Amino acid sequence: MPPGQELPSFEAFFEDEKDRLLRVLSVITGSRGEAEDLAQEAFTRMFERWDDVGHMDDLAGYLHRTAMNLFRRQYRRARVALKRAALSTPERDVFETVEERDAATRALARLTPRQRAALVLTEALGYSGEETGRMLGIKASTVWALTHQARTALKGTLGATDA
Amino acid sequence: MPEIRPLLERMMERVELRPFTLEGFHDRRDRKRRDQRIAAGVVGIAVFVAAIWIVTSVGSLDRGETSVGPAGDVTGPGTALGTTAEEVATDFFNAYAVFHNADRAVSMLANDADLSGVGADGTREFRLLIRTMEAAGFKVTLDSCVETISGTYASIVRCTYDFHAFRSDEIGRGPYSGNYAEFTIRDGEIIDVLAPRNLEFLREMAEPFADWVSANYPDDVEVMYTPHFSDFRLSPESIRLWERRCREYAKAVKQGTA
Repeated sequence: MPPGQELPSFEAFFEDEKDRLLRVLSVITGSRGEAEDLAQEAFTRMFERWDDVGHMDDLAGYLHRTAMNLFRRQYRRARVALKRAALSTPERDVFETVEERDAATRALARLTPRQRAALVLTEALGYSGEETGRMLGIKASTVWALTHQARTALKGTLGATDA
Repeated sequence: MPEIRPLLERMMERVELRPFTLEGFHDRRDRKRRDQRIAAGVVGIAVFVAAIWIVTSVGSLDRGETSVGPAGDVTGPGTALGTTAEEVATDFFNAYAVFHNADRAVSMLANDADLSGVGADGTREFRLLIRTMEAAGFKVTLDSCVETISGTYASIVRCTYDFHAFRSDEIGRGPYSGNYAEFTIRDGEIIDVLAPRNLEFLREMAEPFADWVSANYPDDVEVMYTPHFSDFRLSPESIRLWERRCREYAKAVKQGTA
């Protein structure tokens, strides 16, 4: 931060970023409740270290990295839960609001959270494969594979409707 | 096929957000911290009761003797006896970071544990990492371990700590505080470890030390570090050099030549 420049306000940052983060996390996880929990924890971590991180050039990037790190761990736990208890897919309220005739969003809903995360981070938020890999704790080549799988799945689902 | 980006943007716009206000954020945060403090207090009481039980029922032990864990590993004082996630994290943190007891730490890992958050790929590298930390003079003081996310099948526990490293204590720098490590715990086993770096330590110790090694022992750089000084290189040869160079660096700083 240049000398004399004040630390930006956390409040303004929160107001600027909260909706975008919630929307991103909602689409990735498919659950508003999960998205809210992750956003709450990500903002909390930034709030508690605001004196250190508040001067960063790319605050939104730091927020996304923090949220994705939490998502990565949450997702790992969810996988464990599924393996152990053979549970059905957890409640995903975000995609329930999608109109039945919207094939595109229904196709998105069928992707795995990891595929959606790779797609949202690279396509919607514009992060590189390397940056996305770091956020998700995977290699850039795995990011490429996930986005490729997601694109192929979308193409397969939507191909007929586009014809 | 439609363009992916507009499709994602449209989906995101359609999400019906519930109110997420700044006031609500602070309320939730305060509530959570209060619950964590209560939980920490309960754990503290439990540990205290356990300590009393040990003193009264194993009174014949020499007070200076190091305690021994269930698997027979030397774990040092403060070994948790219970099975809560916070106790497991405390036990693991002590073995891994405080006492550098690789056998004990590895015995607490799940078979599929992800150690990439501390720069290790598998248990062999994790053992080398612990030995390297010891060689590089890491002296860690655990503050507390508090469960931050509680799940049915796994929990995340955050441990806060202070540390000296690269012999910073010998040259009047540090201790470096405000650090945390996070552990994901499932069935009493560690499945994920994450320990972000301390920026003050990087600026004050790690970077000057790397500069000093580069200037005085350029051939050692490749043995001690991964490319771009991004991490410890984990090998037996590296461990020997970390011990030797840290010792020499502290001496050079004290003599005013580094």
